[in-house]
Amino acid sequence: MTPEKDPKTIAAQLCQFARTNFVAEGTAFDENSPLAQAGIDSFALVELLLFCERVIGVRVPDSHLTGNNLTSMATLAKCISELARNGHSTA
Amino acid sequence: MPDLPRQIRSAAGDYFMHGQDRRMRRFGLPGNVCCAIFQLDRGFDVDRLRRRIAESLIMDWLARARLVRPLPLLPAVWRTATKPKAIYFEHHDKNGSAETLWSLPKAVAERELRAEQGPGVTFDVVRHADGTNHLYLSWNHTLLDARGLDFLLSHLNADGAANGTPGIQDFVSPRQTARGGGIAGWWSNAKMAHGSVKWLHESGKEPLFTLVPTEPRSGPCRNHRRLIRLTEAETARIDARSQQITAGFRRSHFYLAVSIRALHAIALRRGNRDGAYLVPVPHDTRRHGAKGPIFSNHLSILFYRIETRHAGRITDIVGELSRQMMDQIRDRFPECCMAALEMFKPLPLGYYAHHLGKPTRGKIASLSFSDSGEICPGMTELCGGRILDATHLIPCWRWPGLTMLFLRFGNRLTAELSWVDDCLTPAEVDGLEQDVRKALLEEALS
Repeated sequence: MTPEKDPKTIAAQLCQFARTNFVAEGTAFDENSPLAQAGIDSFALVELLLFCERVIGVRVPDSHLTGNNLTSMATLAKCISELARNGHSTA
Repeated sequence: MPDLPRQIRSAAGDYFMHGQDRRMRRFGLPGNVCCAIFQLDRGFDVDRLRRRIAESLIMDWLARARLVRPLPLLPAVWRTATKPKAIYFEHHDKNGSAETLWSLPKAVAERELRAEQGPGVTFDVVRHADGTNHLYLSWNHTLLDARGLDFLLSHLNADGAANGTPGIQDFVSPRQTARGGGIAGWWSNAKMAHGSVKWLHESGKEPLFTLVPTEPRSGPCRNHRRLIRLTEAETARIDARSQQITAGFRRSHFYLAVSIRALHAIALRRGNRDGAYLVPVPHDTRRHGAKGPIFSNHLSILFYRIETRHAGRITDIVGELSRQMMDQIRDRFPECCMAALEMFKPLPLGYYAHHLGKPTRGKIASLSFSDSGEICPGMTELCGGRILDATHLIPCWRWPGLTMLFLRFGNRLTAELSWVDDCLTPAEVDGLEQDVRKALLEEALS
C-alpha cells in the first residue's frame, strides 16, 4: 500500500481512531489534546501503532516513540509523515 | 429514572474472579476480597454517606446481588434477592485518630463477603475521638473492579443528580443486559478461544518459576501485606526515571519490570537457573472519560513470559514487555483470552478453577501484578471530609503466592506487596521491599 504522507490527513485519521476506540463519547479530544491526558496508555498506544501499520501504511520504530513525538496526535502525525517520506512503509 | 434489571448476565471477568475466590478459600485464605481505606478529615458528614447509601438504587441493588447458576451448565448470572443485606456499619474509636497504620480492624477483616451469598460490598466507618474518620470499603472482586469502585464512590459523593458523575444509567454495560449473540456468536467465540488456549499452552511451557512450595501445606494459609509508601519527592524521581525508560506511556511496564527484577533476585537466591517468569496483567477496557460501567469486571489480560536472561536489567525487561505486548495485541490475544473465559463460564466452579491452571500445570503465574493508577482521580473530598490519604489492600491469590500492586493517591506512589505465608520468608519479603525501592529510585539515566 502507498503510505499516507499528509500530516493533517494522518492526524485526522488518528483522532478518529482514538474517538472510536479509547475516548468516551462527549469527551473533548482533538489533534492538539495531550495524549497523556486523553487515556492513551501503553495498551492504547500499541493499538494506535498497529492502526498506523495497517491503515496508514507506516511502521513507527521504537526509537521514534519519544516524549516529543507522543505529545499529541499532531506531533505523532508529523513523525509518521516524515517516516513515510523516508520510506518507512509497511510494504 | 430507569429501574435496574432483577437479573444481569455475569461478565467473563466476574466468573474469573469468582474462580480465584474459590481457589483462595480452598487454601484457607479469606477470599478474593479487597478493601479501599480512606483517611478523612473532620468535615466528613457520616449522616450524608449513610443517607446516600440508603437512598441509592445502585447501593440497594448491590446489597441484594447474588451470583447464582439458574441451571447446571448454564452460566452464572447476577440476581437480586428480595431482601437486601446490611452493608453499612459504624464503629466508634474512643481514643484514637485517623493517623493510624494501614491495617484492617478485626470487625472488617473477619467479615465474610461472598458473591454467591451476598453482600459483596460493605462500608465500615470508624469515627475517631478527635473527629477524624476512617472509611473501609470492602468488596468481593467478583462484583466490582477497582475502577468500578472509583465510579461507585463518585456516585455516592454526588448529592442528587450532579452532572458528570456516574448515575444509574452508568451502572451496567449494555452488553450484559442485551440478548446473547446466538449460535453465530458462540461459534465466533469458540474460534477465538481456541487460539488463546493454544497460545497459553505454548507460553506456559516448563520451565516456569514459582514461589509456591511443592510440599503439602501443614495448615490453612495466611495472607500478609506490606505497603511501600513513597513520598512526593520520591514519586517525582520515579516518574522522571519511568519517563526516560518508557517515554511516559508505559509506566506500568516500568513498574512491572521493577517487580520482575525483584522476583528474579529471590529466584536466584533459591537457585532458579532457567525458570521463566509468567505474569498475567489485567487491563481495564473502559474508555477514557467514561462514567461507567460501575458493576462487573471489565478487563482484558495480557500474558508476559520473561526468560531469566532478560530478567536482570530493567531496560531489557521493558524491551521484552513492549515486544510481547505488541505481538499479543497484533494477534488479538486479549480479545481471544476473554472469549475463552466467556466460553468456560458454564463450567462448574470447581472444574473451572482447575481448568484455569491447566496450561501451566496448575502454576497459573509466577507473580500477580496490577497497576491500578490513581485512586478516585479528581476526588479530593468525600461527603464533606477532605481525603487525607487513601490506599487499597488487595488479597493474594495462591497460586502464585505473591501479588504486587502499584497505585497512587495524589502525587504519592504506593507499592503493595501481598503474599501468602508459605510462599515467602520474612527475610525474602525484606529483600523484595529493598529491591523494589532501589529499582524504582535508581538515579535517572543520564
